Amino acid sequence: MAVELHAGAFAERADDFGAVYEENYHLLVRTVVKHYHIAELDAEALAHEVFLAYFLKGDTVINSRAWLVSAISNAAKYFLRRRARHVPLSPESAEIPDPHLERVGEALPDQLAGREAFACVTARCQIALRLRYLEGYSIPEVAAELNTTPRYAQKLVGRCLQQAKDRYRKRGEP
Amino acid sequence: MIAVREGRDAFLRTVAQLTSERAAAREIVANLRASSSELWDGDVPGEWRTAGFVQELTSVASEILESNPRESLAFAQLALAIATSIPSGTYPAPVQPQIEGAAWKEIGAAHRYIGEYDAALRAYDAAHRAYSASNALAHDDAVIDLASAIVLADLTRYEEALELLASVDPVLRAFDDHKHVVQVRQMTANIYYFQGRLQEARAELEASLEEIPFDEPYTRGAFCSTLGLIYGQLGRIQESLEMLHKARGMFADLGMTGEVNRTEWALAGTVLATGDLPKAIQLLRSVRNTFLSLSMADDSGLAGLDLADALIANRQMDEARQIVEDVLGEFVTKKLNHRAITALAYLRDVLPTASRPQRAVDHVRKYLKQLRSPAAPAFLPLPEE
Repeated sequence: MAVELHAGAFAERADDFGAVYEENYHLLVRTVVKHYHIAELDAEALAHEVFLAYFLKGDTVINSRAWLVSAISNAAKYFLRRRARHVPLSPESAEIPDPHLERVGEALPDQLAGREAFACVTARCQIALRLRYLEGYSIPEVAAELNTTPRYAQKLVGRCLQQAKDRYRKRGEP
Repeated sequence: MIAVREGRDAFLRTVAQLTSERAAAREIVANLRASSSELWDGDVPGEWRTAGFVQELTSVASEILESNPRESLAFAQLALAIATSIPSGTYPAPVQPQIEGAAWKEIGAAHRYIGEYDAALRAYDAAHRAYSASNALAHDDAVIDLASAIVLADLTRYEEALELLASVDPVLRAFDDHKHVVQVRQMTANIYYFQGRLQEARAELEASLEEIPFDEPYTRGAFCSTLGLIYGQLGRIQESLEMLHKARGMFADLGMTGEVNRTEWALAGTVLATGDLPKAIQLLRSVRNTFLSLSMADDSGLAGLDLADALIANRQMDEARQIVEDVLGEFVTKKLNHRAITALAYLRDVLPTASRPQRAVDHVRKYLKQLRSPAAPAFLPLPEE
């Protein structure tokens, strides 16, 4: 019964979002193409991002049309700002190898391994390693976040690195 | 037309996936509340690594923020940990940055409630970083700016907070986000109040009160609470009491323990102004105890000093000294700011012999409020009379 109710509730919700999508999709894409001179393909991708962001907001949006129009305008501006940072390469640069790719053969597997290793540790280690290595928190800041002493935070980060190493190695074993 | 249909179908497939993930997570997350300490050291089950699960954890963190900020922080951190373990590319943009940013937002809010303002600002910076990975999260970003402004105001960095509020106001208006626009006005009024610009604060609140929809009782309660506090300080006692009782009722209906307590704190101030010392003392005792039970050490300390002040006015010197001793003990036990401990130790030593003890209490209380800013100077005793 609960499943039936849930299925019913979902169908209703999906219909709502489907209707919002259909009512607004063309408007959003047109706005981006016309006002911001962005290619239609990119405009469609932006519209889809906006629709998903809208869905994740849940029921907090009161005026869907105003929210979506404002979101797409901001998204288009942000897209253009990011694109403006792209600098065209000089013609001779085609002959020079990208220094970032010099060690790509070694670095890429390392990065992938790093990500996988992160995923196989405990929740406590996930957060400790994320704070330290992805967000750049100092050890005292990690300690403040985890409500502990800097000395314990230091130990924890070390232990979590070891755990990531051990578990990742174990996963690779037959 | 076919492309639109395909896009719509892809969108609805993601909607269906997220909805079913969230429904599957609901019961598991509800059960986690009973055993949240154990799960930190266990492996995260594979079926938890979904955006729906992260959303559900974040939502619980938000629900319990008022009643248990420490537990709220743990849930938000768990949400972040699980979000981190979701393989990249699992969801279309902007799902991953949006769920990570939302977890950081709750982490920031919990830190703020516990009085850990620097940690709150760090969390909000991390939320900004998460949101910047997508084109479509301008609204979420603006809400984080509003939250940051609230923390900056807590840290007495009023000008920075006002600047941020002014910049975020048009963005939120463009989204027709009435709820957050009202919060911007409320925060602006709060800052005017803290800066001693009482008439400007009152005008801002009175003008905004009519704009608040009736289905937003929290916002309405917050406005009434602040307006009540300001009326009290402007000597409009009856209007102050009416507003504060109204606010208290609204927060109680919402089950918001922390806000009920803050309103009672303001109510105690107005009652004190009427001269009903026993009633004010009773209220302040209860306020302080509630803050203690919510692990809100800073606020319980400040409420303790208000209580000491009222006890001195009521000629209960021994009890006032005991309260100061207790507050000092709590700050030492919890290893809170050493400068606050120095100031409280001074107050404990000076109270038995001070010719004007309330002046000493006021001096230390003002200093403790200043300490929320990292730029606060070292504590200096009152000049000898």
